[in-house]
Amino acid sequence: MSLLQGQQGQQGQQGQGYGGSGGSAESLMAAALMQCRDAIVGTEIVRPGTSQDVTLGQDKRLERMGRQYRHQALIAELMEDIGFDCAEYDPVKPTAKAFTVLRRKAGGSATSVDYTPLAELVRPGIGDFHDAAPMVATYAELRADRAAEILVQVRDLIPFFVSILPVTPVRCPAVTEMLECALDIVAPVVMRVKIALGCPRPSQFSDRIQPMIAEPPHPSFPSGHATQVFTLATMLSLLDKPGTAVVSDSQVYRLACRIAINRTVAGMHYPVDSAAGAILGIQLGRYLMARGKADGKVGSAGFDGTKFRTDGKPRDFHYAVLDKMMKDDDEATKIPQGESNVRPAPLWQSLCKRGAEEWDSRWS
Amino acid sequence: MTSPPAPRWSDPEAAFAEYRPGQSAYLHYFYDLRTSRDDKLQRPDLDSEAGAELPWQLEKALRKMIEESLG
Amino acid sequence: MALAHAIVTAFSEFLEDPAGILSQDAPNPRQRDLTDDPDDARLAYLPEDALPSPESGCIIGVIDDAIPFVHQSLTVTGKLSRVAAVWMQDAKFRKDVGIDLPTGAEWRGVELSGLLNSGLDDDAIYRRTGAVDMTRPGIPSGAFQHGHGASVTTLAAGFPPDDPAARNHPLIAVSLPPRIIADSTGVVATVPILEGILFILNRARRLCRFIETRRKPNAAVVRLPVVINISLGLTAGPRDGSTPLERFMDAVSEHGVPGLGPVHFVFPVGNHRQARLRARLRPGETIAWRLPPDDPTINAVEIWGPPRTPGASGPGPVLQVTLKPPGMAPATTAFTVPWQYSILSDPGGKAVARAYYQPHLTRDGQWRDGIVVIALPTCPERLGEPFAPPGEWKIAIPRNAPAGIYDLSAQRDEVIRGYRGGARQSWFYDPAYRSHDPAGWPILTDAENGGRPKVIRTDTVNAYATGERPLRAGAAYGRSGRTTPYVGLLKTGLPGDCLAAVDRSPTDGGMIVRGRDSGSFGLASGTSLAGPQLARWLAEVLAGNASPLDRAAIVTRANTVFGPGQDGPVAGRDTRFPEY
Repeated sequence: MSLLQGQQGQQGQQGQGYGGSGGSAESLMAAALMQCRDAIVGTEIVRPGTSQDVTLGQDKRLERMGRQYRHQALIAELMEDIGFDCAEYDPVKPTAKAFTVLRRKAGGSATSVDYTPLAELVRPGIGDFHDAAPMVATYAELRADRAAEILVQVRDLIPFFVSILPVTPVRCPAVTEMLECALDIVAPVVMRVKIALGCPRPSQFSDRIQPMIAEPPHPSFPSGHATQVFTLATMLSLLDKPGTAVVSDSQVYRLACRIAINRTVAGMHYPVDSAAGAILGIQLGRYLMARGKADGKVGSAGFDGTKFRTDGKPRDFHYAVLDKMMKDDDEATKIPQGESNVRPAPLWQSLCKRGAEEWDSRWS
Repeated sequence: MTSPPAPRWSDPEAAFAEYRPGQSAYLHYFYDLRTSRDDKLQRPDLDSEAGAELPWQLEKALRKMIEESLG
Repeated sequence: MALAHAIVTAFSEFLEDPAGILSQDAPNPRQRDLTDDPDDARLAYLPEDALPSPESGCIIGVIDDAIPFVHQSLTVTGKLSRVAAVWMQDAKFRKDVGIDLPTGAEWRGVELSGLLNSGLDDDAIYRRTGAVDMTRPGIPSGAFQHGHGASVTTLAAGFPPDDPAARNHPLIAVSLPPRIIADSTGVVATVPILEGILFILNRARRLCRFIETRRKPNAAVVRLPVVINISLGLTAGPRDGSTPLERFMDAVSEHGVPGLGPVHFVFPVGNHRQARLRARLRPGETIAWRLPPDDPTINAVEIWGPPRTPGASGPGPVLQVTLKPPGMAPATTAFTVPWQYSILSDPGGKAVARAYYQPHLTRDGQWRDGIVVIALPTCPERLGEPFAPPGEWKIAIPRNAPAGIYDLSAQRDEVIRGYRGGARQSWFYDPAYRSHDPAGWPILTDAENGGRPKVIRTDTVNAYATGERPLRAGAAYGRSGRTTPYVGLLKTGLPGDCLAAVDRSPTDGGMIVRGRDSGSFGLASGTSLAGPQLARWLAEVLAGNASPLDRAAIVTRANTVFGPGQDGPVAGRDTRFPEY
């Protein structure tokens, strides 16, 4: 009698759970599993059987982890090798004068770590931002023209690259995961740079900028969107042709430029933010692809925001300017030098290997 | 089989008697429309052939306007 | 001054306002000759720093709807206006300035500069000057954010205030009455447009004299050239350059105006190539004319006969038209002399249509028979008024009409952006006319259509623009330079004399244009935006080199500067924002 009631009591609880808020499908499954076990287990004492050692390497085991946890493991592995360093003004100010993203050198041991610069960004002066703010206002002329893109690109960037290259999520799940990992690496790296340099947004210089979407609460330089899209563009062009240089008028880089410029059109970034984002993004893209190879190398690049001018006026940013930056024809840009080995990343490499296979077999 | 009903054109009347700039069929129609809506407006009675000379009047008036304006 | 006299005397018709386009308080109760006191600073055309240099100046004229006369792009540094004079034809009458004008309000550059420097923003100035007055009945088109006149004027005459070329292009502009623009048929716009042209010429001459008095006492006579952009159009008309407006414009460009440099006109070639508004019939042939239901505006077709030389006994047989409303038998008119009209009534005696016999003499003295068929609205504007049946009407040229080609055009009749009206376009139906080829591409020319269609694409040019001198502006895609499919065609089959870039590409229509308020932008399309670009280019050409150019010489120059292009030279492909 009491047992029945107890069961009914439980069913009653299940009934409540079923009609209530989230987790109801799980509670139903849990209740069913419990009930099934009770019916078939037939003992309170369990004797373990024989066991075996692990035979699969990390790469295969990584595949078996499932996407969500794999993503977390990869982020952790990739972020291990990232460090930061800042140079202060003299006398020291609340914002850093320059901020460098570092990466671990190959060799060494876990307790004896050596970093080398990957990308150094020098903060533009307040006068540089002041002079560049009117350009942002001028770009407002394009808002009606670009509104649809701007709104979509607030959240969705990968679909634009997928439109250019045949890397759809269903046919190329590993490539897609690579790109999503990249976005989730770039975001925290950029935040560290932004907070250290603490640069004002264009709207702070004039109440006529009136951005067309809600301005994020973090500082301006460098542009997070620009960094992300240049990382994606670099990874995809290196996937296609390992070791290739940046081709500024290729479709992926033109797309990256356009998405970066759209943020200026929207009223949230100066062109110099996009230029800095381009350098940082390209370096992060190269770094990620280098760590995905057995013998990857990457150099060190720099961007000096105080020198991004032409004829004394603040410089605009577009693919023709990107071209000059890449060909060592821009005073602000130090193109990559001093290549050296990166530390291999076994988990990441296994994903990159699958990605390369997907890409190489894309005609099938 | 009966033939379809026949509409009928009214006997032609003059739309205008003398040339004025900007005259057109449309203007005449719109003025008639206003007249039909407003008792205070009137449409003058014209002889049915009153507009016969208008094309030549238009020519003369146009030449005069050109001379006056550009003389 | 003869021009002033013309304004006063020749157009009292404007004041009589038979079409009811003017507001009650617009007419000038006592039109007088203009006697501007040259020392009255208030009446001065331009401030000193905005005066053009006679060696490199060219005046730009614009006649349109709601000119944005204090837009930042119409000023030079220091908020000094480049607008020498603007006339709002339907504003509340303003005494003191423009006493020679039949209606409305005139404002000049020095006064506008004062307003701009008094701390008022654009909107406050438009209210102060009467461009916007919400207390008056009627359409407040001066208040529209994205009006036609704003995009056209700033394209034709807008410069950054610190551009050294800016002061060389003063603007003289005319805002037409909103009711003219609301009626997209444009059929009652002739007098206001003519008045507008006379205003521009008169004030342009006075501006030249003004500049002379401001320079050294024995400086040379100043004769600035003028380019006038009129981005308005009709789809029906004789298209032979013989209408009074066209002949007047040709005379102005041909003979010039004393005291002024050469005067040129620019028109859009039109947007209706594919709209099936143009047909050709021979005697005995019939065309179907489809009227949409629920249309509170009239629908009209103009029929123009082949030119013929009048004989000793007169012009010859009178043209008649046979009209067949849906469900009824056909009926033929019985005109006897010019400017007669008849009303077509249904068997119940209710009026359904009218026809007017309005032949004219062409510029070379030939006779052309013309008939205007007006179908009443298919939905009456007011209860109790007569209305016509919608559906398929038939228009036929009687078998016994003189041999030759009869040109038919349906009048444009659609809603203009920003204006209510409920207007709906009628069109010709012809089974031999094909809109698309079997693969789905739009058919662009009569040759591509093939067969013997009665509905044609050639000669769909703006019916205001068939004189000898005005420049007809067509539109091309910015990216490719190819002509856009909707652009009207001249009788020669070309899409205008010169083209300008308007739409970006087939999937990316429109171009960025300025709105009324300084700093505002929008997207717009159409050959209305090609005209001002070519007017602007022509003004640059004429500035400092004001030798008279006929149409062929202008086209040759455009070919040299822009390259000949596929259908003609294309201006405006360098944009403010290159394709990055």
